[in-house]
Amino acid sequence: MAAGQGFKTFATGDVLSAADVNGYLMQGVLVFADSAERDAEITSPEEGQFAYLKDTNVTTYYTGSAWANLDTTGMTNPMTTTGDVIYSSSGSTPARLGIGTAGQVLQVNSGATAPEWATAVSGAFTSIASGSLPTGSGTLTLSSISGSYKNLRLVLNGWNGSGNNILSMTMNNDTTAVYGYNSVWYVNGSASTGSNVGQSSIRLTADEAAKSGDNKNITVIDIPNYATAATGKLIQILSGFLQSTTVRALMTYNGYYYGANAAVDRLDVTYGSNYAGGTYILYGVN
Amino acid sequence: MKIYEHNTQTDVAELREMTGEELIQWQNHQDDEVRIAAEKTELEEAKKAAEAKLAALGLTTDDLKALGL
Repeated sequence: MAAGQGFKTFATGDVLSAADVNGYLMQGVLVFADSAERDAEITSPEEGQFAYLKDTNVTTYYTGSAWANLDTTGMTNPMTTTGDVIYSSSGSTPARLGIGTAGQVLQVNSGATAPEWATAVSGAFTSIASGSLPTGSGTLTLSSISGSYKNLRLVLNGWNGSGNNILSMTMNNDTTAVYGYNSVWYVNGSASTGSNVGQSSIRLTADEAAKSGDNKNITVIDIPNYATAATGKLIQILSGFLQSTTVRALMTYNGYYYGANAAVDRLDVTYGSNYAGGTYILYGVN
Repeated sequence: MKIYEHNTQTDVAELREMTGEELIQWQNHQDDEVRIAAEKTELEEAKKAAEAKLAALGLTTDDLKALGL
C-alpha cells in the first residue's frame, strides 16, 4: 500500500498514474467484511490509513504500528435536568450531580471522592465591611448592605471619642421619631433603667460612656432579620467600658425600629463628637 | 460637617460632607445629648433634695432600705 500523498486537483488531460491512484484515490475509507479481510488485503498499511469493518460497524485507522478503533462516541452527556452539573466519577467517567435546593452550597463529600450539595453551615459570620473608626468625623455610615444574610452584627472594638458623648444609630437614614428602646446600665456602682419611644434614633450608650482616654470601649449591635420587608426591626446593643480603673460601665439597650417596613441596607452610627480611635466590623450572620 | 461612609458593596470608604438629611440626624443627636444631660441634672437635684428631707428627719437611705422601700 502506498503512503497517502495528501490532496491533488486533477486538470483536464492529466494522466492518471499508478502513483496517483495509490497515493490519492486509494486514500479514502476502504470497506472490508472484517479485520481479517482488511489485514489480508492491506499487507503494508500506512500511518493514517482508514478502514471500515462491516461486521462490527467500526472505523479503524492505522497508527503506524497497529490498527486502532476510531472513537466516535465522545462523552455521553449525563445531564437530565436544568441546573445539573457534571463531574468526573471513578475512572474519569462523567457523572451527573443534580441541582441542590435553594441556599445550599457545594462541598466535598465525607469520603472526599465527589462533590455534593449541602446546607450552608448555620451561624457562620461573614465580614461585610471593616476598618478604623474615622477620627475626622463623628458619624460612621455603612451603606449598600447586602440583604443576603439572616442577621447583622456590628462590632465597635476598642473605640473612644474625643468628647464625652453618647452613641446613637439610625437605619436606612430614617431620622423620624420611629425608634424606641429600654435600657439598663451600670456605671461605677450605680444602676439605672430607662424606657423611651418616639425617638429619632436608637441610643447605643448612656451619657457616662466613652470617657475620653483609653480606647477600651466595646459595643456589639445585633439586628436579627434585618433583610425582611414585612416587619420593623429589633436591635440589641451591649456595651462595656473601662477607663483606666476608675470608670467602669456595662450597658444594655433593647430597641425597636418601627418606621418603614423595609430591608435595612444602611446604618449610621453617630457619636456627639469625632471618634478618637477603634475599629469596626460589620458581619453578616447566617 | 463630615460623615464617614463605607460602601459595603464596593468596599470604598470616604470622608465626605453630610447631606441635608444627615445634618438633621446630627442635630437630632446633639439635641438628645442636651436633653439627656438636663434630665440627668434634674434627677440628681431631686435625689439631693430627697436626701436632705431624710436627713432632716434623722433618716438615711439605709433606713429606707431596711423598711423595704
